[in-house]
Amino acid sequence: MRPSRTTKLAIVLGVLVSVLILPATALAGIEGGCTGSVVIDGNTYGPNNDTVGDPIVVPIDKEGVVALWEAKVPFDNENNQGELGVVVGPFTIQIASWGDPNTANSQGNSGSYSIEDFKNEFPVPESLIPRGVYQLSGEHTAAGGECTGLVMVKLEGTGAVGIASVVGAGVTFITMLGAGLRRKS
Amino acid sequence: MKGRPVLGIISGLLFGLFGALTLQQFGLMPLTTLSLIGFPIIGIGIGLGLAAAAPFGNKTT
Repeated sequence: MRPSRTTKLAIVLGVLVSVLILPATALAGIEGGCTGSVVIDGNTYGPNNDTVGDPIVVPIDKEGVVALWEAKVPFDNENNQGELGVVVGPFTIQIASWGDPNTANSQGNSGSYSIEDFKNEFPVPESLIPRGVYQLSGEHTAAGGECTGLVMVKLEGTGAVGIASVVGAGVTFITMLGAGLRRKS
Repeated sequence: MKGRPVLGIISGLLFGLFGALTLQQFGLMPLTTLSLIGFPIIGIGIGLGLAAAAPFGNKTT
């Protein structure tokens, strides 16, 4: 008995779903002994927030949210420099960098960062700021050592980019099924 | 190929890219090498596979 069209379609959908819904894997957190934390909207996050299931959540739709952060290094911190980037496929796009002679050898720092300032960095309306999860990669080197780390950040909410991506995936999926239409010969 | 391989390649590539972006936007998976490059390659494979098998449409001319 030959399978029906519905059965064939179900097989194709089953393969697609099983391929696309892959399990999230844990990342490395922070290596090198550095510690740090950030408080956002009453929640405290740290290096262990390095998975899709437990990310640092940034409520981008809320107004007036401020992130309070602190960080410490366990080594001589003179002549330090570092950078932070967003991982996009095989590339890392640098979004921040720092460097300081730090002759006083301060081994800790803290501060605050307004999420409103973050939103203003984007040259588009708030609804067009891409949401979702991002893998952030960072490193800090100084005279006495270095730290590297990966954390997961989630910009919470659904924006226009998310809706457009769903529409795009749906349209291209249907178009892809069209490739399976038998040509007339 | 009994189906449409060029359509399969292009639509499979775009489906993979949109799929990766959708998973990222809804917080299910970041844009890793696997999702940003692997998914489009898988999409191309599926598109070509569909074009080769051509499971839809009339078999008679």
